[in-house]
Amino acid sequence: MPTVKVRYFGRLRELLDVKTEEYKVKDSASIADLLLEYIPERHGEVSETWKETIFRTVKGEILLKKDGTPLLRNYLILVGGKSSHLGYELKEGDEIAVLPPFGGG
Amino acid sequence: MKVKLSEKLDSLDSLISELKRTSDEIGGIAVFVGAVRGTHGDERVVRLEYEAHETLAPKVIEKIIEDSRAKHGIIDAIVEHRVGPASVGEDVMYVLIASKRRREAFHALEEMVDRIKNEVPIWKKEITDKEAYWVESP
Repeated sequence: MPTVKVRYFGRLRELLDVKTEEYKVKDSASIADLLLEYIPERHGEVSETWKETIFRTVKGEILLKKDGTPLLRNYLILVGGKSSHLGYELKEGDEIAVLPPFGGG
Repeated sequence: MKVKLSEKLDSLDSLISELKRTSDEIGGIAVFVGAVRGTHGDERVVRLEYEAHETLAPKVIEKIIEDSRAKHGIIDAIVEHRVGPASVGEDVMYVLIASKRRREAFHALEEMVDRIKNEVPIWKKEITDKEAYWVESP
């Protein structure tokens, strides 16, 4: 049961009203599990907005790729500061960052 | 090379002097100053609020500067960007590029500002007299 830390930025930090939080996930849980199950379950009051913000949806249903993985919007997932993917298997101590589209300058 | 994300920018004079000291090959410095515009369409802007990924953002900017050195042959660059709240009229970003001649600095400057806006993990919330929203690159 790995414990991972999740960091949020911009509109996601504002939506969930938290900068960082920890999740204890089942063995072999992936980033997709984290984004689709663990985070929406903890933040039930905004879970639909969360899903529609980071995933591409049609009438509330998340669009899937041909291989069955959900289709992210223009959001970036980092593990330990490096770009990762939804199928990544979470490990003890991982720090996950969910980055909205950038908008500096 | 200097990259800084901070609630307060250094003075432009001091940054220009700092950049000049890096090499006696420098023949020109091109400067971009980003400031908070007071209008958005027909709305009045009250303030902007910036946040950044504090470790990744400087690394990405450093990579952009290195790319510019390789592509345009610039000598050096300084980038400073605000985090936190910024009021109308205040400066929020300085990009200074030093080169032997003006042409490479002008080319590099436009490209560097575009890349900073699109590739660096910095987020901006615009608060107007009517609403508040996150400004995101398409």
